[in-house]
Amino acid sequence: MPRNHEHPLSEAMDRRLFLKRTAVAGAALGLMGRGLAQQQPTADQVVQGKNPKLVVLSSRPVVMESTLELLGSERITSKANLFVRNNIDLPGLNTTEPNVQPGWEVEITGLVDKPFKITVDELSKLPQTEVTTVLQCSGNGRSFFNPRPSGNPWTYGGVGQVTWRGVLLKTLLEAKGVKLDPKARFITMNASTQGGAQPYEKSYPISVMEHNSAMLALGMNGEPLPAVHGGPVRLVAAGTFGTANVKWITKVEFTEKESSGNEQVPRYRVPVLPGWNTPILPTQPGSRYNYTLDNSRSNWGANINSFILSPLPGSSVRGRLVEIRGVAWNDGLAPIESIEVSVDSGTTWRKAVIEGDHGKFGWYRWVAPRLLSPGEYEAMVRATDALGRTQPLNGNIWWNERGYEWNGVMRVKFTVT
Amino acid sequence: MNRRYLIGVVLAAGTALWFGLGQGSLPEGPGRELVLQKCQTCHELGFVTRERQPRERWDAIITEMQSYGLRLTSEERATILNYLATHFAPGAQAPTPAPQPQANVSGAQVYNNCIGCHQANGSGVPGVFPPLAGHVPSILATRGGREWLIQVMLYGLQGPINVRGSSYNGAMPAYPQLSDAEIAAVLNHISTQWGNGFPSGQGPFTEAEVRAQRGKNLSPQQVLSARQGLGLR
Repeated sequence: MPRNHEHPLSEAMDRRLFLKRTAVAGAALGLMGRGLAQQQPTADQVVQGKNPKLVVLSSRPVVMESTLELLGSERITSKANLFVRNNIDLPGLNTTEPNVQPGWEVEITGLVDKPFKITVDELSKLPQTEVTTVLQCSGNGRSFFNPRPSGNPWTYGGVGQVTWRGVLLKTLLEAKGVKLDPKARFITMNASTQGGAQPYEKSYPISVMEHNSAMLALGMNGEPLPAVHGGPVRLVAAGTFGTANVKWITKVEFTEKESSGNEQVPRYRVPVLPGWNTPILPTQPGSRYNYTLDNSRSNWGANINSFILSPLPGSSVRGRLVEIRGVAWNDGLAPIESIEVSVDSGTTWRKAVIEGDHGKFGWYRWVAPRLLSPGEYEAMVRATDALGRTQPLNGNIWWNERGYEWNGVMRVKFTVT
Repeated sequence: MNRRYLIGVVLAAGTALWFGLGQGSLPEGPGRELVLQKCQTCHELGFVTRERQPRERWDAIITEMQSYGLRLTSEERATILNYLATHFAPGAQAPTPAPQPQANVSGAQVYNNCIGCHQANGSGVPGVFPPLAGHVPSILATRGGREWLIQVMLYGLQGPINVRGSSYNGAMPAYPQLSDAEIAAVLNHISTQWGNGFPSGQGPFTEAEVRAQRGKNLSPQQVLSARQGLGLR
């Protein structure tokens, strides 16, 4: 077709015609979007009470992530907006409603002088403790590793801040007058297998009783623990990744060794050189690793991390004063001292203001006010704690076969108008 | 310029559709049926189709699944490994969506999605997965039973049920990704196999019947409540 024919046509296409045509294209998009939505059900269809804006990564078992926008919209992540990572779904519990079962029993056994069973009802009558923690899937950020490891393709949404309420394991043992055998070094936990569910077994070092307020949690955010998040009772250890915060717990066993089950090894581990002072042994991206209990460690303590929650990636904001905002957190062993923000792709960094925290296991809220002229920017954030623990500029340095514990510096592109 | 823009929009939409459809679909090839049969017993197919892994990693993943109870003969294992390592290798494109099946969809073929739980002979696994043999006709005979069977396919079913004297408390996944024709075909298959048959006066499921149940967005729990309303004996 000759140019001189084409040109007048596009010139002649007035605004109305353009809108009409884009409307047709838009309708086509809408229809297609509908078609796709039918294939992957929305979060509220998979779990009753969830915000449909959550992104469903799997409907069976249930895996869904929150979004930066939702995380930035509330200080405590509501049950509607909190991510879910189930390894095993318990039939009938895909709901944020409570799972009312006062007779539910938890067995406390293993290396203790007097093993016992306790019901949820009895637990609710013991002294309760509240702790606000960052709950994060150890696979959060996996999709940023390159090449992409196997597993759920989390972006940033496998995290939230919630307030747990329950009975500290220490309190429970004291209340029952039960003594630990000095040989006990691990806590091995089992989830319920009701309804024919597969077993789920995880271990913690026994130190979580001392350092991480390990508790049998009965409540979340001032309500009974939602069924999908482990109600009626879940083991929670503040400052740790979600994987060993076992939902629907039925057994707490004090053991000499950590579990050798699949969930403990090879799953949920990163390579280490025992005795070497590096959190993860760097491995060649794309290479294989033969995980054993000795050449790797479990995803226990959370590593230091920080997210930019505003501006959102790809958004436009009004200048000149732009408030870059977000959160930072670690395992609670030492306070976060410094949160630095760069708006020139890492050439210069300036400290953000820490506005407040939610206790040592919660989010540190920070703000970095900047005067920015109209243009394109890339914001980056990096947190450092009093121990000097910080985040790598290139998170891929810690590429690992199963894609755990990503904490590379976050980059957000935005436009100032 | 506007026309180019339009073409761009349509292309982008097309790509999104292409990719979206590819997510849940398995490319043709030896081993496809085995993957359909074996993998969906415990998890949805997305866990397979979203991965791009080298052969040795797929090998390790299959071993891990076997440790979770996946039972395979060595021939089946080799076939599945070849299939995954061929079609879901690093850099592999999203699988080409199967052409929208039209007139001659085989219900027996679609039933490959179901074998992992309900078994080839429709017997299920006592106490774990309910039988279809001998049970489907009693559902068809109830008022609303036909519609309900379509809803189970589209929206899944979760919670305690009682089937022929045994109780079950599991979850049946939803299969909204199947076409109307495929759902009609598989329902016709399970309604006529293993001694099953349609009650007198009832004909085969049609695509229109399936279409009529789409868009209701029921939860698997709502499908369970609907079952209680059927008055199954």
